Amino acid sequence: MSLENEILIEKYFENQLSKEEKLIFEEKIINDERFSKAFEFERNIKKSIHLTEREALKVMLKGFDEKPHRRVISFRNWYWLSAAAMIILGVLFWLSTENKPNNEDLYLSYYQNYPNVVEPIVRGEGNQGDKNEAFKAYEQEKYQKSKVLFHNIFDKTKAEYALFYESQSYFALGETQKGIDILENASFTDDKYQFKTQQKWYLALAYLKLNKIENAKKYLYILAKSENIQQENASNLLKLLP
Amino acid sequence: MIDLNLLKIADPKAIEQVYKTHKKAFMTFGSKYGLVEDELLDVYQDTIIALIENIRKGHLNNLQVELKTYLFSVGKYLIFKRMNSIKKTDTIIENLPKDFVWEDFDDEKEELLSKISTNLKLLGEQCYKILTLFYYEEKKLDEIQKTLKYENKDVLKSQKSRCLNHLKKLLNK
Repeated sequence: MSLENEILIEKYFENQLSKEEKLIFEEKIINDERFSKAFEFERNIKKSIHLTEREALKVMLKGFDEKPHRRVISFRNWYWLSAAAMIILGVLFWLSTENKPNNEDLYLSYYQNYPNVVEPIVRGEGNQGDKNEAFKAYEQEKYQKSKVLFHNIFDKTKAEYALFYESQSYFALGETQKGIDILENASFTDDKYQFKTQQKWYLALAYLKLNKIENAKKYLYILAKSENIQQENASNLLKLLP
Repeated sequence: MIDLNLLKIADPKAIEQVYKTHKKAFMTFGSKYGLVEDELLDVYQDTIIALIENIRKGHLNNLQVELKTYLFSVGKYLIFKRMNSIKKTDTIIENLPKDFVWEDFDDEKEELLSKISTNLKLLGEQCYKILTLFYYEEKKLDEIQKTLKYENKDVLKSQKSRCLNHLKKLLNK
């Protein structure tokens, strides 16, 4: 593309076009196919970055609303009662072995399916496409269907989200090892959707469910030592593990 | 008092503070417009996103009103927009804060945009930074040159051009 055209497009995005340049710009959009394609390409980049940044923020905001899970609260009660009982009765052994929640309890306390943060389903808008269908199934808790749809999307497009949500579908179905296999072999290139962080979190939970405590702790330590959305959960959970 | 500079760099703690500070009041304020709670919470999150986006674009550098006033004014606009879209009405909302910009992106090219997004991440951190500063934060190349400490504007321009060409190649694969 000519230097003149490059400068015009650059000035458009910098909001620096003069009145005359605006006219030239508009004329070129209509009559110069190469110019209009180049402009459209950059405009799509602009849109794409906006959507990516907005989605990343949305995930962050949703994270702020996550309340301590129901069963964590009951576990805290348990913890307090245990401590009191230890002092009063001095029956340390009994408390630490008989009353301690097992790993399944801990898993259930912390496990929550990762929400759809990729494809907002707007009711009544009749969105089409594989991606939309997969997320619709996922949101409707039709995980047998969503796991297949995400698998197919990943096969076709290698989109990271498809792999991540395929694993989520397996976890929801209780097919924990299959979910683990996917996440262990996945390499998420970016953390815009928090997949990199959530990958470690869900692996930790899945190993916990399968009673593979050392594997779970490995991921929890990684999460607990750096700032991320699951840092607090990971630290809390670590304190509860042997 | 929330430091806008921290929001400018998208500091998660500052975002959490502003999000939690105004949430309850916003939900009460918004409840009278008839959106269900989930929808309203979704609009509140969009309001915060719009706030951060406008701060990052430098539109709040000369904020003349309280942050809360700004936030609620944007929120009201987004509530009406949401209601218009749900109820297929056409209510016009006035009194938007000065310089506020919120572009809705149609989803007709959803697949293409998602493909671009995936490939943008493969360009590397420096390219993503340049492109985000230019297209998202709408900084001029002169400002980006200073922020990213490029020797001169031409070096930055050719780096940006390389990023775009690389992206094109990835998309055509």
